[in-house]
Amino acid sequence: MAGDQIVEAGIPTTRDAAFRQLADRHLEASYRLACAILGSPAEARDATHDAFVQAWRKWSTLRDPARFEHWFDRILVNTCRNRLKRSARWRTRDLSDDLAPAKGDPLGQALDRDVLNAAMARLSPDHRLVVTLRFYRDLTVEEIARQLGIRAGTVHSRLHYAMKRLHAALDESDAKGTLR
Amino acid sequence: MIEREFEQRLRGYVRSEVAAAGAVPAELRESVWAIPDAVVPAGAGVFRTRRGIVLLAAAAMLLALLVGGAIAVGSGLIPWPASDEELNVPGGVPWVDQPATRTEAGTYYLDLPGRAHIDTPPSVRVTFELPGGWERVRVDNLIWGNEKWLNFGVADNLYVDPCRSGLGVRRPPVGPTAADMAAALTGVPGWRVTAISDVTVDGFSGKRVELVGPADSSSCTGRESRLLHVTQAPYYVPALRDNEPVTLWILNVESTRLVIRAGHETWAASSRVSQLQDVVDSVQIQPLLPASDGDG
Repeated sequence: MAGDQIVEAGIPTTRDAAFRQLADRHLEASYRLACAILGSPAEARDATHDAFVQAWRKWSTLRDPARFEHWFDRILVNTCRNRLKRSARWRTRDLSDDLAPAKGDPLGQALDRDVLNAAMARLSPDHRLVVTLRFYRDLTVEEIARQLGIRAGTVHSRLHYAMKRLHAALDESDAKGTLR
Repeated sequence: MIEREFEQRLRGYVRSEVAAAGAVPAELRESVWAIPDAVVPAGAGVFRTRRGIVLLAAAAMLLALLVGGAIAVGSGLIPWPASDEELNVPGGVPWVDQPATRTEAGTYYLDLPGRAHIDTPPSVRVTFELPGGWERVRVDNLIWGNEKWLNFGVADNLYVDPCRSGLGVRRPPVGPTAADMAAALTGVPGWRVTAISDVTVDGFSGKRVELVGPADSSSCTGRESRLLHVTQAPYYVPALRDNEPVTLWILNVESTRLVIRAGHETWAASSRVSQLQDVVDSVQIQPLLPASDGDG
């Protein structure tokens, strides 16, 4: 498919070649971000694909290919958020059993994983998103706000609430570990 | 635990989860690479490429033919159906345009793509009647009622293992007919087929399959067991509840394999479950692509 002309140093001049080059350059990071948000490689694969389809459809809205990463991350994060919301809608089973840590596991990291997996699953999609962007991407509150298109105060509030929940889950697990 | 230690543990957890996911799957890399060949971008300016100019010329010729045809019809040279009724086009409003809130009673329709991940014209239109109070789940176009749900899809394959969706879909894929799919479903891990019978919906024949979903999907990838691979996003139909009672109507619609999936809570009242059959009984099916000679 011949493409529209895109003039940018280092970026091919046709739409399809530019898309492929930028997709190739950012695929790894995008897939990993989707994994971090969704917590499932299979979900991340589908979400990443769908986000790139969206990006191709909206290509004309990308004014500056040098800002592809920021532009695409917004699409990807929205796609992941929609998936999380769907999953939350479908999963109403009680996850309290998941809070019990793996018995006899000598590794603190594995214990954290069990506890945090369960605690993250109990967060709302919006709370989970801010935690991931803060602790996987190391974004500041202001950067997260720009990424999600919301106010910094809202990010602060969501982060505070989510951290409180996760902190409590780890504290509870630590206390049980001390008693064992 | 002090804040800094907590943040370190949290950061370590998130990063270890991502590391455990491994490298980008080859199939994802291939499917992303194929997008420009398969998906038409929105707002692609037709005047801005040579191909666009050719397409525009073709459109002009088509318009001339239509105008000529209309004159011929007007003059009585060509017979032409006078109404939608004669054209056999069911009415209704697009289900995808419904807000994700309770809907009014009415007739709705869904257009389903013939192939996954690729922009092709829809291959089949399903029109159905709903009583009031049902709800649309936005991402999946799931039709959600009180303690019951159903959805429509074009099922092109099954997963190797519904609990391990990362293993992908079957290669070679399940054969093209409703009977092929019904037979293949009897061997799906974790799912138990309890009955298979012949069925006809709106004149299209196929198989009615009753199944019971897995007792526990919590250890599965994404905590869900994927029963079918379908052509519309998000490309799969999972169990929505543990031990979900599921009924599938798998229909041969020319070259497309349409599946209607109905499920409900195990404790749902029989009067509510029977409403699922009422919706299925109202279904009208319209193939939108010419039948192919090959499969069916």
